[in-house]
Amino acid sequence: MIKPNLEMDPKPYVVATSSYLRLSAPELAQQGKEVMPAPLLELRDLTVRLGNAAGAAVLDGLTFQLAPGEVLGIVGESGAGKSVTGAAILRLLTSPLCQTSGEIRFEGARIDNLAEAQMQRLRGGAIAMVFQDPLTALNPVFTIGQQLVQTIRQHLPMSAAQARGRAVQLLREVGIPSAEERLTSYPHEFSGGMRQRVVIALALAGEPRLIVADEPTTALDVSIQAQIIALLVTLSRNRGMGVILITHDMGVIAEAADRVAVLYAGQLAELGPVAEVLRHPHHPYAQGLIAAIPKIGAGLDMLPQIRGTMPRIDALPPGCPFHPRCDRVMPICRTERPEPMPRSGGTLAACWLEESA
Amino acid sequence: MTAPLVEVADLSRRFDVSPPWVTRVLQRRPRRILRALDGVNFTIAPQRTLGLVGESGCGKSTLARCLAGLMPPSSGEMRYEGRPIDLASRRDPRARRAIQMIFQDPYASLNPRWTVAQSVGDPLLAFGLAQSRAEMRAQVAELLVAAGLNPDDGAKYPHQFSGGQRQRIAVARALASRPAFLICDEPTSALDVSVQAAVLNLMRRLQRDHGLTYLFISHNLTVIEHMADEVGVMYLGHLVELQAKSALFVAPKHPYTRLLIETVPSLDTLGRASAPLKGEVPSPLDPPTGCAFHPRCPHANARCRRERPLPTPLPGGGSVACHAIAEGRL
Ligand SMILES: Nc1ncnc2c1ncn2[C@@H]1O[C@H](COP(=O)(O)OP(=O)(O)OP(=O)(O)O)[C@@H](O)[C@H]1O
Ligand SMILES: Nc1ncnc2c1ncn2[C@@H]1O[C@H](COP(=O)(O)OP(=O)(O)O)[C@@H](O)[C@H]1O
Ligand code: SF4
Ligand code: SF4
Ligand SMILES: [Mg+2]
Ligand SMILES: [Mg+2]
Repeated sequence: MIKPNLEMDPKPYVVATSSYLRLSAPELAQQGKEVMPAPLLELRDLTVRLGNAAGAAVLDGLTFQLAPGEVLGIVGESGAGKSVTGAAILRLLTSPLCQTSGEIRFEGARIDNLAEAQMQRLRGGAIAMVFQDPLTALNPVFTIGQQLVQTIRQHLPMSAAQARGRAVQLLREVGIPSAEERLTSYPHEFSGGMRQRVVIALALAGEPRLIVADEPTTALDVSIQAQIIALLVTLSRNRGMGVILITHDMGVIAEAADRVAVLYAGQLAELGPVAEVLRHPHHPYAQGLIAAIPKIGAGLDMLPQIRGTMPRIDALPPGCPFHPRCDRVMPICRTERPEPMPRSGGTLAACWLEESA
Repeated sequence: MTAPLVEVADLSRRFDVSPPWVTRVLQRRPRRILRALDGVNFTIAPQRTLGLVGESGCGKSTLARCLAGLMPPSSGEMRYEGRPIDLASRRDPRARRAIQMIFQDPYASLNPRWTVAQSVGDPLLAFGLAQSRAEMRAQVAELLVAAGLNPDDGAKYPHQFSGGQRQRIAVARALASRPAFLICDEPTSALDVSVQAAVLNLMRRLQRDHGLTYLFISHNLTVIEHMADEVGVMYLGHLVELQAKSALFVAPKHPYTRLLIETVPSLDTLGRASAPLKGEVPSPLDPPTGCAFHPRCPHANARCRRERPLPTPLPGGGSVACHAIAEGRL
């Protein structure tokens, strides 16, 4: 489980199921539930729609918390709403996407209704984001050094020389060779993988307490991927920095995340401790996703595939959004939407199937 | 032994990354040459898959681009069906049709302003493979179906598709000229696992149905293990190990390959983050002397720091470039 960080504000809260949320700490203590320090980040019933309150839901009732020093993995296929979750947290939703209900709290305070000026101070500072596409985060006309120094000085009181030293340190930390010399390089002079490392260095520049990393290692080779993941985990543990790790690589989740949330069509399909979800997934979608991963030595001719494709969010079927692709569909699945419900192993799964023994 | 379909001999590619000449003169900075690819040799038998893995920036995409005729190599040659291909001219007609490439970002090969049918049909026109509009329409529909798409999708534009579907469109376009050799540079690296499974299954089925030969590049060792027959491992522009997949994953030889295989993130490494490979990736601008891997290698000695190891054949087939192995130390 997640280790509480004792230096943080000791406001009691619980990393558990949504039904526990409404109970106070003493009530929970009575029930023998674990009481934790305040969550670093909390999403309550977050709903993002296209256009307005009547538009299709891109994210529908997403609830989870992140403790300081915790790594929460978010997986799901393309279009499931992973990036929108990240963008909503940073309030970077672009029209026609808009948050229509629910709330987002950072260190206890709501941030989804902050003035843009205040939000800008948070972004790149206390909350940083590593984007999926390194090119969107880097300016092609400035050198890596100029971009790092500028970001560092925006958020930290440093002289240009100090910031330069810090920039070299950050580049080293993310594994850029000849860091000093590379300060004068432009983004296009780096290979795809090296560019993503520079982006991660940029994210670290403002000494963040929360990093939202959207596919941070997708473009990296394995040895550096392991280093970056290890780096993120170490930073998270040492500084009590929370990490939201959005990735399609379940191997990365297995190594780095404490808990994992599986999204499907904008809804939470399964959420639980990573060992539980990977070894004993409850939701048929989570089961299919894990089966589709190639495994060394498996010797499979064809990989198990989930049939069909995820529906467009503006054309979701009624009931369980996964039902047209589910091998275990039941009549109720076609009409009633399952809510996330507690399962064994501290997992939540939104599925009408009874727990199998 | 069947004759190889593709033979690559001593392929090198250098980039001139010198500062502008004014800077060079005023600040007395030397000319700088980056060796992205340095003397690479391999062969691929027909209908087989050579998987290629390696550190970011080690030259995988450079190799792919050279072989696809998208970038001239600095030296070296490629033979296709035993005959040399003119890699310097983008117009080698035999190569242009028989060798196709699939990119990590399918947008790289799709024109966003063209309909899918135009993109897929374009090679048919270019190579005169369809005699009439009706014939072209029929062939485009057939290609879309082969790539797991709906024939009606031809009327749509690339942005109307998901990443996985766009990669299928790129596959359909690559197949249009009826190639025999497909160079796939990280074809599923941008895709989610469920979609990746579908695209990998598709590629395997197409290989069987059309007798395709693949050069399959990926940074993901588990994907390479699933797809490849032979595996090549690159480090800083060199091919340091080449072995049959079955041998490489059971008994990796080169110290770098060993470390790579140890650090694969997998579902089994749950709860214990694998010890990451230590050390920085050396800059290709300033590669270490001798064996380029020596600063990170636990078996390095004085000879490794001085002398570059050359690929040496292995008894069971394949090759490895390492002094420790040649000397019997490892
Ligand atoms: N046009 C160019 N000009 C200068 N240097 C280049 C150019 N293209 C590539 N390089 C350099 O050549 C080396 C090999 O690059 P390449 O793109 O082939 O790497 P890669 O193995 O495909 O890496 P990745 O896994 O990150 O895609 C890198 O050091 C890169 O910076
Ligand atoms: N700017 C936008 N306008 C309209 N729809 C969008 C926009 N951004 C995302 N969407 C839609 O929201 C859903 C979730 O997208 P996203 O979060 O990017 O998925 P992923 O899980 O792949 O990161 C998708 O259906 C996508 O098409
Ligand atoms: S609710 Fe029904 S359709 Fe949905 S995943 Fe569970 S069994 Fe399948
Ligand atoms: S040649 Fe020497 S340094 Fe290079 S891999 Fe072999 S043992 Fe290590
Ligand atoms: Mg995304
Ligand atoms: Mg590449």
